[in-house]
Amino acid sequence: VTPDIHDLVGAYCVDALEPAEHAAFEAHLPGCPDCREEVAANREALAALAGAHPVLPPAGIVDAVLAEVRGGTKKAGTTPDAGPAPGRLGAAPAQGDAEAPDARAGAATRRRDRGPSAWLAAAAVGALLFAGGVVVGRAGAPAADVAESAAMSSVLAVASAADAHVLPVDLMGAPSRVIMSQEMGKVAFVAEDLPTPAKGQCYQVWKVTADGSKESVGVVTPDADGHIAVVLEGAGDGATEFVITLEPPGGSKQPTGDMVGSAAA
Amino acid sequence: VVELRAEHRRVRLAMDGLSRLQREALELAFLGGLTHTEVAARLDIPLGTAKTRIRDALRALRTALEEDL
Repeated sequence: VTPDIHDLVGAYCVDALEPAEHAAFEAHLPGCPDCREEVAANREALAALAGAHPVLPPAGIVDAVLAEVRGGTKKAGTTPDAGPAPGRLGAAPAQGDAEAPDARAGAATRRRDRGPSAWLAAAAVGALLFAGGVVVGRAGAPAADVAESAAMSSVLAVASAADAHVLPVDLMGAPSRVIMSQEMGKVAFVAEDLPTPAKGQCYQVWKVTADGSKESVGVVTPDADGHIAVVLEGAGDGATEFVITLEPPGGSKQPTGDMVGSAAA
Repeated sequence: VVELRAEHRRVRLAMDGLSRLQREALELAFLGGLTHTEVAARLDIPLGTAKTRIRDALRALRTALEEDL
């Protein structure tokens, strides 16, 4: 018995109701203008709270990243020799088990079948910075190997920073993004279908500053399926552009190889 | 970037306007992804209190954000 169904509106908006209550509240909502109004107002506030993303990361990549975190299957960052695994980066959109965060408020408040929405999980990671406070558990999170999903969580943390910029990279036709957050001082790199570099070469990401000088942000290696999702070593501050070159193993001090990709910051 | 920082700060200030209890409940539910039952258990408060606290927290957040405009 629910004493006052109107009191559920807050928990509903943050996707915190138990399934039965959720259903009850949704049945109540169409007939209650007050609650509808409160839901709409809350969505705006929550969208602000979730972080004012200037650009939402592209749905396909984000879905894949989120699916990876939820599945916790394996580290997708720098493991070139990992064998095929279900639910890995890039596999999810085809399977359709990740829902696209197509609207900020909607994604933040839409009910998922199980546990917090993946996007909320992302927000939770970002919240460690945002709130500067408590580390909180994730309800209903899969029994994921935390260490294995750590790389992806770090990427999500950057992607869910309030000032995250997602920069499309023109990289030989492979869908890839540089994600940077000034506040976090971090740069993440996500790519799909990236060709394995020729033997004896690796991809290196460079930050180009206003005076034209280039500084290494990190070396990235796609896994066997051409996926990369990793937070780079270097910071992105002062970048006017990011360029990607092919370099000898371990990278170079200054770019020596062919430029294969670039993104304006 | 400057605008975004301002937005970020605005939200943070708005969150500062919440009572500690409200803020805690909202963070656990929204950012932490807990259900209100779990929030109640975590904070050792009755379920009804958790519900109203989350609702009040959102109300306070809205008010703070609106005032700031």
